[in-house]
Formats: sequence, C-alpha cells, structure tokens
Amino acid sequence: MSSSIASSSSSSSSSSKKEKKISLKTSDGEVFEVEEPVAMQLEIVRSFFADNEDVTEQTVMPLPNVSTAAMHGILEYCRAHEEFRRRMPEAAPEEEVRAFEAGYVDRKSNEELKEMILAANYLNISKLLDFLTGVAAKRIENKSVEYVRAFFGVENDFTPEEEANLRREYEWAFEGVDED
Amino acid sequence: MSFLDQNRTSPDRSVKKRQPRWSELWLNKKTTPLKHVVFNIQLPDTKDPKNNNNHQNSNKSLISNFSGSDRTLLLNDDILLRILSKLPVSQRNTNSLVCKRWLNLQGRLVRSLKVLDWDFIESGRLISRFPNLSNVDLISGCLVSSRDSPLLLSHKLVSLHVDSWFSSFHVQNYLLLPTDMVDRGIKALASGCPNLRRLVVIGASELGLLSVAEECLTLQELELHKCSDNVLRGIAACENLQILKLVGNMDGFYSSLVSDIGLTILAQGCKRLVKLELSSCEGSFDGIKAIGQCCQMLEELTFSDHRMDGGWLAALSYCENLKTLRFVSCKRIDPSPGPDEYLGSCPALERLQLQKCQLRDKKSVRAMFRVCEAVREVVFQDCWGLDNDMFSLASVCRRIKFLSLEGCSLLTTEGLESAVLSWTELQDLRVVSCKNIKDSEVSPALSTLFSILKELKWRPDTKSLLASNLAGTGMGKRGGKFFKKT
Repeated sequence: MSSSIASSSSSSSSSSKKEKKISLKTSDGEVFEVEEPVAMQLEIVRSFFADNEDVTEQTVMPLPNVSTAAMHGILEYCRAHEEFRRRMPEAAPEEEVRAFEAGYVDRKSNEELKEMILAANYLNISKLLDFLTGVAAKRIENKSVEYVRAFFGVENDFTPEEEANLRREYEWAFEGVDED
Repeated sequence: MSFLDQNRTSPDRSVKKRQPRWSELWLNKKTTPLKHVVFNIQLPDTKDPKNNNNHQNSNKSLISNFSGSDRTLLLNDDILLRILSKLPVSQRNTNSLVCKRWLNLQGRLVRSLKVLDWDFIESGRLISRFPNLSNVDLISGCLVSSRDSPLLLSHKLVSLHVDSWFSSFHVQNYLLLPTDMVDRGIKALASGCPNLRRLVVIGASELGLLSVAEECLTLQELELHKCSDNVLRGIAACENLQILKLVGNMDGFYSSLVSDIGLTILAQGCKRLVKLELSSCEGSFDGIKAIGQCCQMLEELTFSDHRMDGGWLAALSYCENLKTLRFVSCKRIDPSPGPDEYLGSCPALERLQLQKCQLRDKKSVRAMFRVCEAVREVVFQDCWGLDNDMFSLASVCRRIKFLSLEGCSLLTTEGLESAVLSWTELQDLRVVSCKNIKDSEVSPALSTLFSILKELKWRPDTKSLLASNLAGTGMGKRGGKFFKKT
C-alpha cells in the first residue's frame, strides 16, 4: 500500500468520492487528508469527532505531538489494515497481515520506530501500539545492557558501587522463578 | 527524569581492545565470589556506547542515527512497561542494569521470587526493588548457607552449602535462622508487598504469621516449615487461605510438633481451605475430624510421612467434599484402624494416590480401601509390600475407572488379573515397570479386557524398557565396546 499524501495547502481538495475525508494537521503544519474509516482507527480522532457535534468536513484536527514522518508511517499501517478489513470483514487474512507487518517494519530504523511508538500512543491506536512495542521488544531481545541503552538513548546513572551491589544481589540474594 | 543524550564524541572513534560484555560476567561461574571478578574487569566507559565492536553491522546505522538525533527520548512508563513485559525472563537482570528507571520498572514486573539471602529482606532491598511480589519462597533464605563451601547438602525439601565441620547438631543452632529474625523479615516483606499470594517460610512464629495475615489480605497459599501447634494459632487470621502445607519434622534438621491441637485450631480458623498437606505431622482421629467438619471446601488432602495415631482413618469420612487423597512416603497407613462398621467412607472421593509407601500391614490397607471405596482413580507408585494379597483388597472399591501401577515389583499377572476383572467400569489402565507382570502370562480374559479399554499403557517389563531406550546409543553393552577408543 502506498501512502498517499494530500497537498500541503489547507484548502481541501475536491473530493467527489462518496468517502468522507478528515483533515489531520501534524506538528510541522502539514495537513493530511485521510479517509474516514482509516482516520477512525485513531482513537483520539474518533473521540474528538464523536464528542464534538459541530465539526464538519472542513475542520482540521490538529495533532501537535505527531510529526509528519511518523504520520506517514501510521497512515501506511492504518490504510493497509483498512484494506484488509474491507476485503475480508469477518477475519483478517493472517498470512497477508503478517507479511505486510514484517515488510513494513523492516524498513523502519530504530529512531523511526521510537517516534512511531510515541505517536501511536498519543493517537491511541491500540493495535499499532501493541505491534510496535512487540517490534521494539524483538529488537532489544537478549541484547547487552549497552545495546539497550544506546537503543533508547538512556544514560547509565548507576555508580560503579551501585552496579557492583546489584550484580552481587543477582548472584547471592535471590533467584527468579518462572511464573506458572 | 530525563534522558539527555550525552555530547558524544565523534562517531568513528575506534577502540584498542575488545571490552568485555556484561553478559559474560553473568555466565562466569567461577568459584571466586563475584565481587572479585567485578573489580578485576575494567568497567567500560559508559559514556561511549560504541565501544562494543562485537555487534553486527546493523548497529552502525543505529549509532549513526542516534548520534545524529538530538531529540530526547521520552517513552512514558506505560509504554516502557509494555515493552519490558514482552522480553524474556532471562533478560530481566540485564534490563535492570540499564539505568535506575529501568531497574524500577523491571522490578515492578517481577511477581515470583526465591530469596537466597535473608539480608536482602532485612535491608529493605527486596521491597524497594520488587514491590509487586505475589509469590515468595524463603526456604533458602531461612537457612544459613556457607557460600564459599563446595559441599552441598540436600535433604528432601531443602538444600544448602555446608562447611566440612557440619553435623546434625549444628542445624538447629546455627543453620536455621532464629525465630524472631524470621518474624521480622516476613513482617517487613508483608508490609512491602501487600499483594502477596503465596509464601514459603521456615521457622516463623505465630506473631510473624499474624503480621503477614494483617497486611496481605490476599494470601492464599502458605507453606510453613518447622511448624508447630503454637504457630498455627496465627493461622486463623489468614481468612482467605486455600492451600496450606505444614511440615512438622524434618529428620536431622529440626523437629517440631503439629498435633490435634494445632489441627483443630487450623480447622476452626481456615474454613476456606481447599488443599491441605501434612508432612511429618502428628495428630489423630479428633484432629482430622475437626478438619473434615469445619473445612467444607477441602478437596485435596495429602499425608507425607505422617505420624498420626492409630484409628485416624475413620475420621476421613467427615471430609465430605474430599476428592483427592494422597499418601507420600508413609511408613504405615493406620496401624489400628478399628472395626469396619465404624470406618465409614469418604463420599465424594475420586482419586487415591500412594507414592513410596509401605503397604505391608493388611489391616491398614484394607481399612484404607474401605474408606476409599467410592474412589474412581487409583495410582500406586513405587510402593513396597504390594503383593497379590494386598492388591486383592482393592477389589472392595467397585467403581475404579483408572488404575496406574508403577514400580510394583511384587505383583504378578495373576494378582492383577483377578482384581482388574472385577472392576466393571475400568477404562484406563497403566502398568509400567512391574517386573513380575509378564506378557506371557496374560490370559485370554485379560486380553479381552485390554481390547475394551479406552486407554492402555502396558510396559511392565523393565528390562526391555531400558533396552529400548538405550538402543542405538552404544551403551549398555558389556566391556570392550563401551570403552572403545574414539
């Protein structure tokens, strides 16, 4: 699925289709015109339009916490899922979904992934968030401490003594137990 | 809490030598204590994550992205917890070392723990690191283990490292933590982890128990080692207790007495009990009767090496909802069960399991089967004294649906046959490693029965079992071939 980008001017393009489009404006001012069923996958959009009776097609919903780059990625995902849903309304075609998701995420760098997680969280897209957190987990699974720090941009705030104490605790003080 | 990225030095600074990875320290199971190892290894410069040359090429793009980005990374706790919960348990320790925030978050996800060092609790470290614990096993923590010693002593339920001058005298005095210390510890644990659901401890007293009961209203499962009647006085406060295991004596380690008094107190206090295991406990008819009458929800009762007084079996008839009765390592069932008319029977009993028991006393075994006459599933595993006579006593149980015999070396096919043919409802038969049951002796009647059964596992011949398992490995052959030079 290719992501379609609306023109950056805020005047709505002539949409002679039956589908209603919703305008979403990202943090750097770019406006995306998104088909309604796709936009409704974003919980935040859905509740905005559900709660406010006086919004029209012309209303541009501002999303100050979402960058344009993240928006591209999100729309790509949501559009693909909408397409799947349209084709098979009862059950998602498992294999195709998986193939799409695999391809989709391969191209994303770690930075992009992190941005999208933040955006998906803000926009409240539970499925995407679940998927992306799973991807992030996969990427840091069984990696060393430094790798994980670098991945998340985290600074080590332990003093050497504290670290030594922690390691001693792991060795002597307790043992993890597998959950039932 | 912010995660400002450092002013990184230029990305292509190279490193002279390979820095050791943290993951190697964990797996470094040398006998020298870990603290020595830590001081000998040069801690890598934490400001520069590019010191690890061992990563794959994909790391290069990660690093260049990272150093190029000047946004701070602020994943909120929620998202981070989600990610952490998807990581394998083996990675928990590594994750906790990333930074203090991760230590905190990762700690919040830990639910079950086995404490090895009592100081971990006393110092408050346990509670600050793992506030959400629901399942804590303190057995190893209650034993004073000599860390540097290579001698490992294992006895039934516990194992610890001991010094070479160890003898059983020392156990009571030196190796078990004193009661007040244990009480303090579990009190601290309870106040720090109010969601505690399961606790295993040695040597707690009633005061300790009371403090746990007060704080942890969801306490469902308790395992009290070195339990005595006095300790049980605190049990009544644990209203939601469903699963309980009491260990009274452990030969060579400690001896403490659980008798009818304790059992009665228990019965009156914990009416919601579903599973009860009495290990090396004393008691008699009265104690079991009290439990049967008061604990209406009791479904599973296990006696492990019991020291009950004769005549107690009849009390089982008071356990009206008992479904599973188990005897483990019992030297005798009931030496003087009393006359048959007074035995009664357990109305709802479904399962009877005997593991590693001595079944030499006919009166005992007969009484047991009488009390269990409603049983549907019977399991014998590694029991001594189960010969044909003894086994024929089981035919008083008319409703047996499932029978499992394992390691019953005195039973012959004939004995098995006469009992089995009398059970008209038999559907599932399992005979494993009973060396006197020979395939050649299976009669036509028995084979007809086999064909009717829903499930049959017939491997009585131990020798052939072993041989078939070893086939192809080259083991089990005599002499020369086994020691062949490779």
